[in-house]
Amino acid sequence: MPPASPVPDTPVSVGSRLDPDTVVARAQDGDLDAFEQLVDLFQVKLFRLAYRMLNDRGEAEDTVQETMIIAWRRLPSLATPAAFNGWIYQIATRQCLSILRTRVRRNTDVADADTFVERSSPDDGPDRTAEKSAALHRLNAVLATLPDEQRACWVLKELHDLSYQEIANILQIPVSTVRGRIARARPLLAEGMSSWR
Amino acid sequence: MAIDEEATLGCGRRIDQVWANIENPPDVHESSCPDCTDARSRLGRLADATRELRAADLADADLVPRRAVKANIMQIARAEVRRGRRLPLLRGEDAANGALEISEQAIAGVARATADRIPGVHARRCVVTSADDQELATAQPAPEPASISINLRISVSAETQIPATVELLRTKIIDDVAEEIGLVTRKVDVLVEDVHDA
Repeated sequence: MPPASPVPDTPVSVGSRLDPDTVVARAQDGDLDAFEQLVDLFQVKLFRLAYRMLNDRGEAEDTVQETMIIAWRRLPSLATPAAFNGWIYQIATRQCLSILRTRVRRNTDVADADTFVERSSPDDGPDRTAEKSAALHRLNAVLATLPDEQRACWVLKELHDLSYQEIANILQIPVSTVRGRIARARPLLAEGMSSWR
Repeated sequence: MAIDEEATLGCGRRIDQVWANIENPPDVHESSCPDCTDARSRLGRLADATRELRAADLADADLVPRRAVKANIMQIARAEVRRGRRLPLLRGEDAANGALEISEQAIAGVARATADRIPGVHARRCVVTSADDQELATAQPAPEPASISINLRISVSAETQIPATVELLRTKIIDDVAEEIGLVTRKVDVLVEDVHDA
């Protein structure tokens, strides 16, 4: 296969060399090119967040779309460009929690995960890759059993590297509550993973 | 691993203390405490799995939205594009009399393009307002170009000579707006709100 040519998704423009806060500020003024750069910067991150919260590709895509559209509409009122990262995570997290609240609880979730783990478990073979992926599936399966807000705290901290303070702002809860939820999530996850061994 | 509401082990250590030390060898208490030893072993496996999950998610080429998602977002954004206020091109005229108007967005675009051509300057938010006194304006016998005020926020690179650059920017914006749109810029307020790395 010939080496992939480094063709970017969007044409290289003056705008692509701008610092991130400037890109946000321009999008605030209604600059579509700047907004498109924000979509490029955030759509994958937000999709990963939504997918880990919702376990559903279609709903995760809807969340990304809805989040970016809300951002476009409300950008003019964002106080400072530097606040954009926490702000967009807040919109996305709220979208996820709102979908989860209205979603009809599917009792099959855990059963599905069980089946999946069984299917992907190694047959005593020392296959490192299969072992790893089984551990990941177990972690995912247990993660899905955590209460929604607790899962949000854990995912934002562990998979998106946000600080306790940032997560507290996103969920509008005290920092101590975020700390407590994550501290309690860890033994629950560890316990849940072990029970599948 | 017995834990209470405060996420504390039977020995009195908090889970987050154990977690904080998980990447290091056990401390004196941990190495002799059965609660901590058990917690460290279970949390250690969780730490490994968490690291793997994060790396796997980042590397997973399938864990991205389809291209159609961005296309939809941009289509909706384009349909709802904000052009800001509309300002008359000629003094004293208004749209009710069929006068030509221009959007704030278009004028801001000219000002930003001017700023971007100056090395070390990144144009940020831009507000354009009419600088014409309406009473006086309507008294003019022949139409004259309308005048405006521009408020532009910028970020500059660390080595920028701010006073000279701001002065140059003002002059160039006045020239470019006159040349490209035909408006008179009475005032350009430039606010340097940030310094970025070159």
